[in-house]
Amino acid sequence: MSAEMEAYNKYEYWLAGIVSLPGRKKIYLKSLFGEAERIYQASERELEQISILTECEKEGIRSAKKKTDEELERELMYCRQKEIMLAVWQHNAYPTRLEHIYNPPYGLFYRGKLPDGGQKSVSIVGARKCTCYGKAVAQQIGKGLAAADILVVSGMAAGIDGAAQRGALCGGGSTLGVLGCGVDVCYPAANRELYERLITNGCVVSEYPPRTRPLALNFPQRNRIISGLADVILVVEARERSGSLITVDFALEQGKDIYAVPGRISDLSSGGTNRLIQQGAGIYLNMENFLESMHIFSKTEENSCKKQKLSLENLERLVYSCLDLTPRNLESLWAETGLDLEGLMETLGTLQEMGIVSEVYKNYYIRSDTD
Amino acid sequence: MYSIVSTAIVCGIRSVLVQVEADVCDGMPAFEMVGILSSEVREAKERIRAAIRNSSIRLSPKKITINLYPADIRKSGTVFDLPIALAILAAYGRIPQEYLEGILFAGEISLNGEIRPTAGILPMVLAAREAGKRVVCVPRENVGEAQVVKGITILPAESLGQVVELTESYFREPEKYKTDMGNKIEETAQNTRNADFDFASIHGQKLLKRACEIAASGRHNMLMLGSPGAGKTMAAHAVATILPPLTEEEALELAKVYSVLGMFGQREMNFRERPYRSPHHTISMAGMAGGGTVPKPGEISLAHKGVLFLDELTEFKRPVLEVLRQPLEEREIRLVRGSGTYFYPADIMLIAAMNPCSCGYFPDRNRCTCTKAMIERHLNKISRPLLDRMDICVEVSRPALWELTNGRPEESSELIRSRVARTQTIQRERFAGSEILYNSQIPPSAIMDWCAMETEGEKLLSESFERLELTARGYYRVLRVARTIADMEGAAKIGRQHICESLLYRSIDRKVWDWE
Repeated sequence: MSAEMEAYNKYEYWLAGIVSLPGRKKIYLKSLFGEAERIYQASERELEQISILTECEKEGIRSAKKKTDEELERELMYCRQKEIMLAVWQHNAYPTRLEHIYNPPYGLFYRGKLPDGGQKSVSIVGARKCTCYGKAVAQQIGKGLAAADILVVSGMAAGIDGAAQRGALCGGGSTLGVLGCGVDVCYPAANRELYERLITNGCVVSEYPPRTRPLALNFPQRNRIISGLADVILVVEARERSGSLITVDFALEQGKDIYAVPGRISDLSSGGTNRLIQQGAGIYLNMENFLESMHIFSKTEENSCKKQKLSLENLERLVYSCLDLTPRNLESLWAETGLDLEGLMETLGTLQEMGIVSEVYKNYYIRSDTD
Repeated sequence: MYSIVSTAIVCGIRSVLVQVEADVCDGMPAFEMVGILSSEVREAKERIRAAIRNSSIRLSPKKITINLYPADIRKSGTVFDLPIALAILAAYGRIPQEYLEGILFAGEISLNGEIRPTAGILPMVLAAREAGKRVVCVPRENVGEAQVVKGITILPAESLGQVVELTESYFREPEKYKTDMGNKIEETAQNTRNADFDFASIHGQKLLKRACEIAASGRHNMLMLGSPGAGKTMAAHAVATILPPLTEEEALELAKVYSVLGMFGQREMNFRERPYRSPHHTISMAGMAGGGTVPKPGEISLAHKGVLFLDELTEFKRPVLEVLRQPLEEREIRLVRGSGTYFYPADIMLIAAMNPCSCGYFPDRNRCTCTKAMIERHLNKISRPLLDRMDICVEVSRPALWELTNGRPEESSELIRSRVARTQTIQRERFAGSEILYNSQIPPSAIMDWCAMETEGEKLLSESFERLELTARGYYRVLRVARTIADMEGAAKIGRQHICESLLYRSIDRKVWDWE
């Protein structure tokens, strides 16, 4: 059977889509029966004899078997129409990294182009409710990794995840989003534009069958795929007891390296990352240093130096120096620079025109990147 | 016998003279009243019967007919008690008709014959003067209100018996009552203001104060965004103190609104002061715009020529906010009812305050727990068209402790008021001959004539138009505010720095911040 045929085998889609059966047991069943079709056609007695299946899992298979051939055909048609592909265990599109983790998914539904296994990859994870600082850092890192031709893996969530993937897309690199819902479902809806760009320029994958709603219990499980697909996990911003730390736990289990972006000790939103550092995670300081630790030596330096070459007038330099990645409000800038309001506004206006400062909230300013 | 007495009725904030005719003749004893009367006017019958008896006036049983004309206006209110009682007495021959000629009577009577104060005296007295009457007889408590009108002799009414004597004594010696009290308006012009709401008591907050001064100078509507306790309410109250006093004409118009509601007492001591109204966010639509079958003015009319402050803007019911849109454009509110169309003045400066998110701490991610969707929902409570009418939008953050305690003297409201007055004079001179008074009222068609820019400023604005994705409305708003800022400096043309500052106050144009 050719790979093309296998990719569109309706029984494979059926087997991969049984949610109540863990991936490792699907793999066991496949090795036992040889073909997905055989599992579909297996008799009640055959199922009863399989000792590793719990009663609950058997029930899941039984109810899945109630689907008729026509229904399976229809589902396959839907997938074809939506260009949803399936990479199953030991299929050549199946990511080799996942073969080595505990409880690998049996099949991955995906839209877009699955990256080949030779590319280095980094998972960037972090809080959905992030600060401007976190967002800017995630974006920078995404862009930096893209420049070094490293795959960025993340969860396409609001906050850090989305920012990192936008950065990677912006830098022209490849990026992969692991979803906790069906790959034809865009969650969160606000990330629609990112979702579309991932499908055309990257990839979204999920172990859940199409049309699965974003259920809360799916998300911790998808984190094992996020960590499993990467060589290194980088946590940008996480509170203590954040969901991102689940990904870290999986990563440790899978033997991956953990890096964290340090934050101020007073920032609640960096509590989790600072704790990781205390526990021995690597510290992310800059892209060059980070890449070195991954044994990649690249030519990204000139990129980061470009900003210093901007020639700024005295006033502009003064105002720019008061700003960083944490938003400052006008009132405090006014007090610190000691300029008159008009001068300050004029300078801020100029800096915004140059694109190196942006207003993130009414009268709150941060430094921003130039492309 | 027949008699006739003048009184007046309030329609909207205008007043119309009404004549009370009485006819007393032999026949079956009866008391009939005609002339489209509302129930409170019909009840006057009982009050008058008791009041006349309790004033020790005995009347023989006769057939009494009362007519109020013009007969096509619905008569409501309680001002008719006194004129009806007097008309009856005159028809009985107890008061000679000539004693009542040329006097306008108004007042409610209690059962023991005492005259009680009523609402709407000021418009009535004005209507009397217009109609050529020189004398009014109003309840004693309303004398202060009537005195606002120049060139009118006022007879204070205390009780029915006293009024009967008063009319006689006035008829004999009118000079004794020529008590033109001078101009009440001038008297109270310089009144002390509440020191709690002086700008001198607001420490730090330089940006907020600057925005307030610009808003007051050009009478721009203002929106304050900030966390709880940052000083938004205090600032709004202080804005009312830096507005120059009302002109005589404006003060009179405003006093009429308060008079109609029987709230003249609130204006009496500070007649020339700009009103400041801050209705609670549970206010109904009728409370805001005015309401009733014969509508009474609402909060927007009570804030006429002054400040209407809406705290917690997002908590107001949506229809209550939408009702503001028309008066903000037309500077008056038109209420259409079955009984006719009523116009109330509503030339307000709108100041609103709101929290950036439902917990109120938004830019501070260590304290705010709102998600992006929650913030979006919070901001969506305010409609785009209302936001479009906010010329100035400013962020208010909590002042630092050292600013509160450093004891540095702050500018007083009086000082700022003098600057505001100067800027407003510049505007009045520029707009002389047009209907506009302030920069905020410049129509789009005239904006290029009055908002001339220097080349540098023009360049910046056109660049910003692209960069900030301004709408046409937003573009005009920036220009109007820049015009005010330039006026504050006395600059003839709008320069780059004025545009720069104006851009800072532009309204929140994005529903969700580019934050995460």
